[in-house]
Amino acid sequence: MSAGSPGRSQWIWLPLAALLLFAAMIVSLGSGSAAVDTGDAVRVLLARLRGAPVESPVDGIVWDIRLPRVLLAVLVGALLAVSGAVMQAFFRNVMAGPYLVGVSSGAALGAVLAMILGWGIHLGTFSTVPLSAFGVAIAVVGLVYALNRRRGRVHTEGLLLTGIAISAAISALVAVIVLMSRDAVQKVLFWLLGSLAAARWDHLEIVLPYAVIGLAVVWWRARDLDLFMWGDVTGAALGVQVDRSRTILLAAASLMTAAAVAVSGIIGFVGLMVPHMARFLMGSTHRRLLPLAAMLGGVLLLLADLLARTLWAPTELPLGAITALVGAPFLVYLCTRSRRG
Amino acid sequence: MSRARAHILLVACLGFLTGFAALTPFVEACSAGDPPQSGGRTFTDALDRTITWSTAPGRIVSLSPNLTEILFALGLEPESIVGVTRFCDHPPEAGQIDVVGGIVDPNLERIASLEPDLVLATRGVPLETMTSLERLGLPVYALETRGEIDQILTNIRLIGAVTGRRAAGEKLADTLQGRIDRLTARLQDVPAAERPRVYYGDLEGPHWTAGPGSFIHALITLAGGQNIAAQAPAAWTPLSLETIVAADPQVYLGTFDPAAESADEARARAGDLLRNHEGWRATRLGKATSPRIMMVATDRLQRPGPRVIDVLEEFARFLHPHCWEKSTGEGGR
Repeated sequence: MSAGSPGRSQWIWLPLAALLLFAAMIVSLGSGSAAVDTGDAVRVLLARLRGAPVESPVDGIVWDIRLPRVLLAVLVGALLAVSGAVMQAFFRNVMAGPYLVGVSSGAALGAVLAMILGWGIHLGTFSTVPLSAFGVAIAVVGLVYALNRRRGRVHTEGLLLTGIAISAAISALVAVIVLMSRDAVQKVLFWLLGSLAAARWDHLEIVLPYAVIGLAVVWWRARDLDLFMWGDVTGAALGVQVDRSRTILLAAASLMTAAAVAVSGIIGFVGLMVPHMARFLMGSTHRRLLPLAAMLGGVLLLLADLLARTLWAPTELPLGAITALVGAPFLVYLCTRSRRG
Repeated sequence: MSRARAHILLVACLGFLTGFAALTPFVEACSAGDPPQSGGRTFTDALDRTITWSTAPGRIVSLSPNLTEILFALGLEPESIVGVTRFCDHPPEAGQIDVVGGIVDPNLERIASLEPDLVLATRGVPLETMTSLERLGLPVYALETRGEIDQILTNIRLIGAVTGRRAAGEKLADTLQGRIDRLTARLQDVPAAERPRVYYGDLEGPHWTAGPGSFIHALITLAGGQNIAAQAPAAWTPLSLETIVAADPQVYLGTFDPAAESADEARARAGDLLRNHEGWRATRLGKATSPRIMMVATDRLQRPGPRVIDVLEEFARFLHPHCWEKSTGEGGR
């Protein structure tokens, strides 16, 4: 996935991506299964920003249903794309993605436990599912990490293999739990395929702190990611405290992914594909690549969610299925093109 | 997601597959050495297979809770029902009967050891299970569970016939049909504008609901409501929240688990959710100080058996109480 050295003209992608993101947000706000168009959406937004209350169903659809969903799509897309980029640099592996070290299986276990055991356990009207998913995801990553840390050193291959092994075991456990309690099958399946259908303002409140902290940490350590790409020895020779930096970046990426998964379920492919897209356009310097990846992740997830909401309205399609269906051919195209170029 | 709904969905999926099944060879193989005697009767089931008996079955296994309810409603002696699923909890006597597993995972050995002379199944029972039972020489009769309320009455007649209780089946189905007809007559003068828009389903996503072709859609319509999912693409489908909000339902019909909470608690919980959950708060239901909510025990509403007619009557009275008030002097039921 090598790309040419970044030239000055490549900076143009950043404002372009920002513009695209804004356009996608406006289009998303004006589309859906209900007959509420862009004009209505803009009118409600302006009225609401001037302090008007949410009164009619149209207000509710724009402000309470579509807007949190659009913002969450942008945030989740950005988080998955950035964690994917971190993981790819971390493991020096083009196949790496945000779910590699057990985040997704941990989150699935947490979500399933909350769905099955958590009947009636609501914090106010707030479901315990995202909190439980987040907690268990972090616990699983912590376990994988702890198993591979010896005398201050972190073993990359070990992380990869332990991550796969523990993920497999946990997925099996999830399958058994789900089959034992048939009531939850539909709910769990929907969750596992990823969806933003339940997006609410308080979901944004959950994700935002982790997003801000995670993105800031990754940005701060972005140069270390460049060095990881050259391998440990080079990194150490250039004075990077490799293990410390690794631990910090792995923790940041895991926090971001866990926060995203907690509110959206498991949305595949974004975290794998978008970093490649960004690298193709921008080169592999992470200070440039990461902002572009974040915005493209947002755009991609917004558009995928738009399709999920509208293709078969009023029924919604699973978002994860759309990202994979759209993403897979695109990634193939990108690979073949960059090989030829 | 309730058991019954999971069951219905499974039924819908499996129904498609079973349409291709060519099971007749097995049935013929089983009955070849056992030609129908004089007075033998032959029945064709929902999968176009036939079973024949000369004496009415006395050891019946039911592989679905709605079929169990129908068997009891037909007045079969509890001794003649020898096996049920772990979901068969109504009437309470059903709890005394040996459990042979679930709907999609019945235990073949358990069923065979009960030596039934009739196994009643729905399309939700996996085809392999039915085939295996037939290989063991156990006659399986499958019933259609998709469809509207008519299908429930049809199933009652079919089960009556196949269990040798034809008269009881006809009588029960006629009685239920009579109740539906009387209710329809009472509501016939209610103008369309007074038929409230009803949302049935989950308040939190995914918002599974009942569309046209489902018995719950039929129930809402017969009870004098308008199902907001009347345009839904399938009988059982999740709707997007904004579709529901845009339809601005006036009445919410929901289900609750009576083992976990009372109907009042369930209604209070639904009311809280409607008021406080973003998305619902801008709807009529979310803004009303006392939103019109009817909560029904899950097994009563979602199990296509005789009790659906009770729920139908309750819901009709809930939607249009005045239609009952004004005729009490005329000796209404």
